[in-house]
Amino acid sequence: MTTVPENIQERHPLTRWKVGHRAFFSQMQGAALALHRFQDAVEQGRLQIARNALEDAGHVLEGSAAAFRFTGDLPPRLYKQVILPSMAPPNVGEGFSGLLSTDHDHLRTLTQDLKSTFDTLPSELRRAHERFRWSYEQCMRSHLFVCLEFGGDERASVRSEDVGSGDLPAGDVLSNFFANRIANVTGSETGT
Amino acid sequence: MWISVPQLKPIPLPGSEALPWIARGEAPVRESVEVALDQLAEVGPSGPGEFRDRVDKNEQMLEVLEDTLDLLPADSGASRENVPSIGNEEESSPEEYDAYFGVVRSNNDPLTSHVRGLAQSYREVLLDARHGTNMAPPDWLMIRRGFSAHVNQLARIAKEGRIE
Repeated sequence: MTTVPENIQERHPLTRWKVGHRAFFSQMQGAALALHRFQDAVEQGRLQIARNALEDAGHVLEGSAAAFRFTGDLPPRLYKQVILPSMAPPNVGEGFSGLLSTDHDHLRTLTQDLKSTFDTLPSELRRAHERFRWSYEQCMRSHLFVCLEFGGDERASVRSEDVGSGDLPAGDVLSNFFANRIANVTGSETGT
Repeated sequence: MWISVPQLKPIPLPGSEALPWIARGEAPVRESVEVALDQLAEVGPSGPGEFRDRVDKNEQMLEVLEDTLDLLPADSGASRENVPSIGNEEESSPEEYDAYFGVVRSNNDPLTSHVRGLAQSYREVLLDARHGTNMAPPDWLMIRRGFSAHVNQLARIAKEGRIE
């Protein structure tokens, strides 16, 4: 059973929520930088630089996974009482959600673009690629873990209707998203 | 119900369109990498050059970032006045999302924004964690490793630029 230190409640829960997200954003940017370097290096046949860049991307993603758990490290009741209402009208406009994150959207588009690169990756990069894929999956799993901690196994996401998922619990919607995204970075040679 | 939102110092980050420029080390951006690292070195607590030396040696770069953060020159792109208001639009937007989290984006000097945002974010995590966390040591190590890999790749971009 998880024990929540009392002193976390002396701090405004929104501070943890925002500080954690800001760490997540800067690390998303770090991962995007690394993947752009990886893409260019592969195109130029510079395999050592490609390997380094892929390793960088993996390390940053593992850091972002930890940042996600840090973000969600507050009592679920405070999430329900404070965080959730802060992300709903009238505090923000309709449809406020992580799908609006510029950094997240950029990384999502980039990994879609990289699918063909991963499909035809030189064998010399296979080990680095497998490690990167594992790191990417850890990032997804951390997001899902926080979602489930805060009732995502029962409650629909605020954007479920927008993405055609109806009343599906947020955790199920995320699982489907993540399966597609992991498939983008898996590559046909190492496909699961 | 209106939520009272705690104010954090705005965090500067480049827009996504600037990220490929930085990653490719294109000429003006490559210079920005040098400038950003030099800027950190100049204001470092132990004298010029220390930051770059320690990054190059892969030693304790995160502590150096934290030490130098308060001494960095003000970034005109990250003032409070530039933070958009929130809660005034019917439909939410990426700009409102940034405003909620206190993110200010600039493509004029993306690398400097990136380095400052990175350093500020890491410092915030350290400070906020003093107020209680359930995270086990391996999780802390992973956060640190992520930031560290991030700083190192910036240094590597600069280094690759110098070689070319």
